Amino acid sequence: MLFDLNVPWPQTTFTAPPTAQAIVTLKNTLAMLEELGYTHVALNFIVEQGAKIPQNPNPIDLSLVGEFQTRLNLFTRVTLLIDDPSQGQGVAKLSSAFDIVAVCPRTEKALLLAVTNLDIDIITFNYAERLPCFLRHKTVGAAIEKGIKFEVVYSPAIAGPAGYADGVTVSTAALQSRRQFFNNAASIIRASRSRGLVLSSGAASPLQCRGSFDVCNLLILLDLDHSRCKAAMTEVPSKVVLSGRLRGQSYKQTVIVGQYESLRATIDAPKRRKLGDTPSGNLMKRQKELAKH
Amino acid sequence: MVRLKTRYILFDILYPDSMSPGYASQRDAMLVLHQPSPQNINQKILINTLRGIIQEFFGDFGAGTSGISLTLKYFSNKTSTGIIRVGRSAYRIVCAALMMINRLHDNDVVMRVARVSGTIKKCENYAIKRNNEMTRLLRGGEADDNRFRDDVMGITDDEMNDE
Repeated sequence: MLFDLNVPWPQTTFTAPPTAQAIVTLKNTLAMLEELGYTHVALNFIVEQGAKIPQNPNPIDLSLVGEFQTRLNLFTRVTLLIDDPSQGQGVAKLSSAFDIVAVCPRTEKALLLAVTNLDIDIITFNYAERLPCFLRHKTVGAAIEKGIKFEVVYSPAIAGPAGYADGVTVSTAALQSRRQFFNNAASIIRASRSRGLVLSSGAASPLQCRGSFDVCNLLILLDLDHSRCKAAMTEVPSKVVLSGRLRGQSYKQTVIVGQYESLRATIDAPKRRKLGDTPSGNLMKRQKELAKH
Repeated sequence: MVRLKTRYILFDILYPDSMSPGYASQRDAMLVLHQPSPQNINQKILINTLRGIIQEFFGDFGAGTSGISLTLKYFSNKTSTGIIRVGRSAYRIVCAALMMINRLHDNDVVMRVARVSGTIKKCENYAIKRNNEMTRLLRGGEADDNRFRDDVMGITDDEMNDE
């Protein structure tokens, strides 16, 4: 069970459908993720604030990627870009049509709004640019307390031809985006005290996908600890998907009547923790095995 | 006097193509991604590229500290798989640099670390096991659910048994 909750859906407005070429690239990206061992993938549709929301707000047509229905668990996700907190109502209109609802605040006020008032699963940022404000533990902690997760998108770190054909120089934009990624990721890890983080690719092409070991390793270099890193690609995103599902189908995320099987089928999280899940438990398990022989 | 401890990094090169329609089944996708490497990608190119990236991302300090015993022990063009040896203190830097590579001699590539181990033997065994599993899949066998489960962190028990 390995999650990638951010693969951009190649469409920027509600009206213009994705081109055939864009769909081919998307399918190749999905095939690459499958090869790298990912099992649950969310297709992410990004909405500008102030865009007029039509009757059916979900433009993601999963039948266009029909080949993957049996190979990956696909979800739909919407990310709303917010500048001005007075226009946060868009979230309510969108939330019923998507599996996961995310928000990308671009000002400090918008971040505060997202933390305090909105019913969302994920807060994300544009990691290639400066964060909207200095992240304080109080703000970020309040969001995590509520069950909102913060997303770290790693594709800006590998953007640009990190270059290796002879004599190719990296553009300053790519250099800037990488530097900014390391800065931003380090500050979100610090502000969240490593809790409630989700790691995802944001890969617009198969070249930007990386294996889970590589991604974890990069974040460990940025001071995220080992077990939390693993959780950020497995357990935490599974909670995001579950809470997204519960939003539509349950009463206040607690009571649900019927439909248990359909909910259960969307997420195959193990019911009980196993002995090997923690380092100390793992050690105990190995001791037991040694004692057997 | 403490012996110099090392890590062996088993990696493979994937060749993603965003234009071709080779995604119809898992088998097709694997055939596209696991192409044999062209002849112009050889040990020398790989290690030079890697050193360049370490210099670029981690500067003089990273290049100096990781360079203590950085060597490419094995690379096969047919399977696009290789093993790198590096001093234990710097293996995370080297893995991160491997991850950043996305072009090798005009080929778009993604480098994937498959396993980090304390002995080269374990890396070899793992590579053999993985190849067997892959051939089984290509012949149309069912995917084994546990195939990647152990790989989430890549680092395994034998690291602790390293004498």
